[in-house]
Amino acid sequence: MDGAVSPDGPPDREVPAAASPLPGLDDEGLLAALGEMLSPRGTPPGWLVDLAKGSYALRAIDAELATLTSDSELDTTVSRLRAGGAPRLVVFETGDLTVEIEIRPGNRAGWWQLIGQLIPAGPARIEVRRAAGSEPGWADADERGRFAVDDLAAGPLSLTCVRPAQRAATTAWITID
Amino acid sequence: MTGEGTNDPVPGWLRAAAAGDAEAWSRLVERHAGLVWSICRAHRLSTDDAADVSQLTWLRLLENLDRIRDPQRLAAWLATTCRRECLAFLRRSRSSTPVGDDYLDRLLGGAAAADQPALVADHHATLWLAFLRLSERCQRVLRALVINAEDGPPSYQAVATELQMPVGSLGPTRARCLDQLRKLLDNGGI
Repeated sequence: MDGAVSPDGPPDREVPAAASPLPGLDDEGLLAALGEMLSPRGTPPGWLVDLAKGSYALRAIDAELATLTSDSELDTTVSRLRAGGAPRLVVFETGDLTVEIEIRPGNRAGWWQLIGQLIPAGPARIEVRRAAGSEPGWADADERGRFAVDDLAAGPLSLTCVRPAQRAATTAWITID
Repeated sequence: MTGEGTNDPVPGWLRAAAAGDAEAWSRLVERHAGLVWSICRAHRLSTDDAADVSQLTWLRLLENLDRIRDPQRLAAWLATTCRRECLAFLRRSRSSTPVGDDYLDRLLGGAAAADQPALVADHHATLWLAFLRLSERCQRVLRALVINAEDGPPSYQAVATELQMPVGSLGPTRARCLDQLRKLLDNGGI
């Protein structure tokens, strides 16, 4: 199976073209395969499992999910341009709020910055959420719904936008990399 | 003997996790971590990249806890979601060449050697999807039979004691569970 992506888009099938040998195994063979699957070689590192468990603390309770509706990085033409420094444009939407963000390399190598726009325009408190264990940061969107966040490390990111007298909206997790 | 029954704990864990129960979330992670990991590795992601995409997959579940349409098929949902995140990761990568611990394999062993970990991981993913559809009892019995102690695979007596089963019923139970597993694999595990 080839995990590489052609310019035409992702492959239609994610399984090898050859039939799986698993159903043809006898009892001993199946047990051996299970043993491999459950062995340390087949399982994720313990720290990763712990990290996944700890991610529960990142639940945004009482916030509406703003789903990702467009990401310039998923457009292969644009991602080639991005190698030259063009920003990544990501858009999230709920029924009544659009969050547009532009991510670009920051002032320090390996760090990122983002500028954001809320539509409809208006002030909001923005909680900048990162992966488990990192302290969230905060930003304020001004009267025109604009906000900026500097010094972002690579990794997962979600923004929770709290507008006055409205239900909070939290953007679907993306990875900055 | 199938997982789709009153003994399947996953729908209850999902409900509880959506309602604020961190322990239930941990159970969900423990049960499905191997599946998510093997799918990432099947896409030839390095261990570092597989860790990143695994984490993103768990965050994806976290933000969708209260909107999983078919709780009894959570494993399939996680598999589909993980595959989607793997493909998105590969599209985002500047180069389509996998880096990391696959690189040395390619250099020294050629393409065939480099494909082995991915192929093995793909089999694990297929096996996980079928295994997780077995009844709780079968999952417990088969796990006990294959988890090696330091001095090798456990004896039937040791397993029977651990599972609090008569040792005489272990053989037939093993056979029934493996038959069920084979049926699920024959049906594509989905």
